Amino acid sequence: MTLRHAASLLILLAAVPLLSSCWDKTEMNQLALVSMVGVDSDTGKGTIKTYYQIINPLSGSSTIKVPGGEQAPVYTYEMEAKSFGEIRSLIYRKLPRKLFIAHYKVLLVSERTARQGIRDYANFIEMQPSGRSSIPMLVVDGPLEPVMKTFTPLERVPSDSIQARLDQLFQNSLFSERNIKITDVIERMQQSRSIVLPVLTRTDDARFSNSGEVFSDIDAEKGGFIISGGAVFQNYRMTGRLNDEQLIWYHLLEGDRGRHVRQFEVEGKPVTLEFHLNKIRRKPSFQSGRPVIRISMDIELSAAYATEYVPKSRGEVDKLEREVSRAIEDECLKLFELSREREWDLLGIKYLLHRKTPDHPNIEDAEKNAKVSIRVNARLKKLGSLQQPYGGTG
Amino acid sequence: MRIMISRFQFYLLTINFIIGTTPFVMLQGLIAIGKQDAWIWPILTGGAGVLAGLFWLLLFRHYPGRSLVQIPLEAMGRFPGAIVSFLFFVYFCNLSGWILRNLSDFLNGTIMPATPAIVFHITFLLVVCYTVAQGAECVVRLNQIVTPLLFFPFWVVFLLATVNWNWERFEPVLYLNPVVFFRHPAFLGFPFLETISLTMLFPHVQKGPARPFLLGILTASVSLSILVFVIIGLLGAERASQLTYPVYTAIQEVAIGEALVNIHSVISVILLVLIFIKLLVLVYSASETLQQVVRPRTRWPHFLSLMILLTAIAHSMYENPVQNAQWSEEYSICYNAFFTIAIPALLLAVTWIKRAYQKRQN
Repeated sequence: MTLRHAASLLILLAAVPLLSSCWDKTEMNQLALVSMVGVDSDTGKGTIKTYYQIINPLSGSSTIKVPGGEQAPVYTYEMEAKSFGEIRSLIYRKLPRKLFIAHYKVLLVSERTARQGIRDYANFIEMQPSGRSSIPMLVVDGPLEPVMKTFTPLERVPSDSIQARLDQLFQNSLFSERNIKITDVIERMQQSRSIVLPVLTRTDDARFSNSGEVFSDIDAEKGGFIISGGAVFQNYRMTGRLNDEQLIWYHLLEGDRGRHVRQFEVEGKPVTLEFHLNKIRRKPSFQSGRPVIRISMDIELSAAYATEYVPKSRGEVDKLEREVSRAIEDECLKLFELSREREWDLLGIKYLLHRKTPDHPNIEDAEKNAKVSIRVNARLKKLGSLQQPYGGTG
Repeated sequence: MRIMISRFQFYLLTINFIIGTTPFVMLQGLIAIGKQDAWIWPILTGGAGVLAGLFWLLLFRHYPGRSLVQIPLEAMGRFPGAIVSFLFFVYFCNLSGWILRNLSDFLNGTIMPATPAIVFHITFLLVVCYTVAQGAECVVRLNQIVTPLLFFPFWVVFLLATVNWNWERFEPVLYLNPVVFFRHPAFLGFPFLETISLTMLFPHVQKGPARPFLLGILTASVSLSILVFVIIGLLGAERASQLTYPVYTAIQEVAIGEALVNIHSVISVILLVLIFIKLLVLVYSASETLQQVVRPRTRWPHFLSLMILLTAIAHSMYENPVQNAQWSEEYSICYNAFFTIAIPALLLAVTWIKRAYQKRQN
């Protein structure tokens, strides 16, 4: 019996050293934590340029003061290679730590790369076990390099700044949405739909690559970048752009629920209203073989920022609701016309027909002939802290 | 001392055995074929599994209290019976090796790329052999204890993942022609035909194994169907049909706030334990076969040689995942059906002939 116990103990002990996964052990300070990746390509040379923004572990709250200012919160490494895979070996000529990309937060793609196609990179990310594809992807207007080498005030790490701005935009406007991740791009492209990704634009040509200069300058915008406009993708290729105004209606039709504030015109007078989507229904039907898509939206209005005019009676409320509904319908139809003209199918009609009428013999054609009617039902629900704006005595 | 397994314990063991490696190896191919309707298929194959189970039970009714490898000995006599029993031994060993290889492939492909595969094989086998040496009761009790620890974390993690859920991914619903599935018979064989290894435990189940066994198959098929359903809802058929480990990726993409971004390690551990349970049953079956056929005085040399054998099988099972995929797709159904349908049918035929002959003698 003692022998048996001793033997079993020995076997268990023998298992212990094998369980420690010594081969894959990595210490934290052997890792280069990537916070943002930028992808660019050089058509002339046929090469790919990748930028890795790596977090400086010595910056932050426990900053060690060095002569000549603060330490940079991130460092940008630039790699040029024939394919994305090659970079994984080439980078160690520059990088002293193990490249760790599993926790990066934002992917930037230059516009020229986006126009050539991003399928290679999407595949590259999905193929790697540690590759994280559930992060937002943005298109950079103009050259990529200055954006990758720009610091952002308030949020010291640029990727944090972009991610936080996207979140704010999602909640407080209709300029951005949640489904702009690489996974969404792949899924939409595989379903032969289109997707609109946000665009990063530089505000001016000033450049600060010294973090001390940025963080001590009062002008927050100098040399920065803003999120503005949208890049339309089809079949892994960027095929066009939307401006900010078109983005609002695109996101509304997509079913996004951000609270957007915009100036409308009611009886020729401007009124600033906050609106957000409550409910959207898309119903396809067929009238003598031609598909008819009925989109109806319930929208909630708030006059909390309406400094110009607050309706006084039920009649006035009705009129405001009617006019705003009409305005939104018109804008949405305008977007639809644009999307049809450029063959973008931004409203996802093909996908809708494919889901609802899978037996249709020719969905391509049906989509081109489809009639779209948009009906908006806007309802005023909230007022601000003033029943009526102060009128003055003049 | 008699070994006692309760019905409930056997029920849980059947479920966990079937789920075992399935989330690793089946989902991607299944969704590639069935697209948004793939979730129906596990229920249909589960029905086929129940039929196979009924067939085995028919055989076992003629031999109450006997295990799968004792039946050929009794039906055919010592020498020919031993050959058939040895065939079952080969089947159990091959399956164990295969499962070990699936496991090391998964670990190498996801969280531990640098660790040599053989380390996983040996560590797993050490623990498995230790458990199996303690007997069948130890195996089922272990399974009973870990089941709630597998069930709740697994579904809680998937509940957290529902932020990525989209009902549109299921449309058009029930559009697929079911004939497509029958053109890919591989899914009929795996994982339900492999449950024949559980019949090694039949003699020890109190009050008869039939009901918990069949109910276990049904429950497992419904669970698998729910799992496929959830994966389609989370990833969409387009991506799930291309990813190597959809279950892992679905959870990898969940981020709870800023801090919790690595909950997929929970899934890894659960899948490891599920594989461990499947391996336990198979190694138990293999070692019991040796025990019942050759009746050795000491068992440890058998365990040692089993470990060496299984490590070698796992190492040489296939060279790369491409081979594995082609084997699973084209040949695994014939392979499985030979051991789990053809041989039991032969045994049943021998039994009937023998009984008829004895009746005429009397």
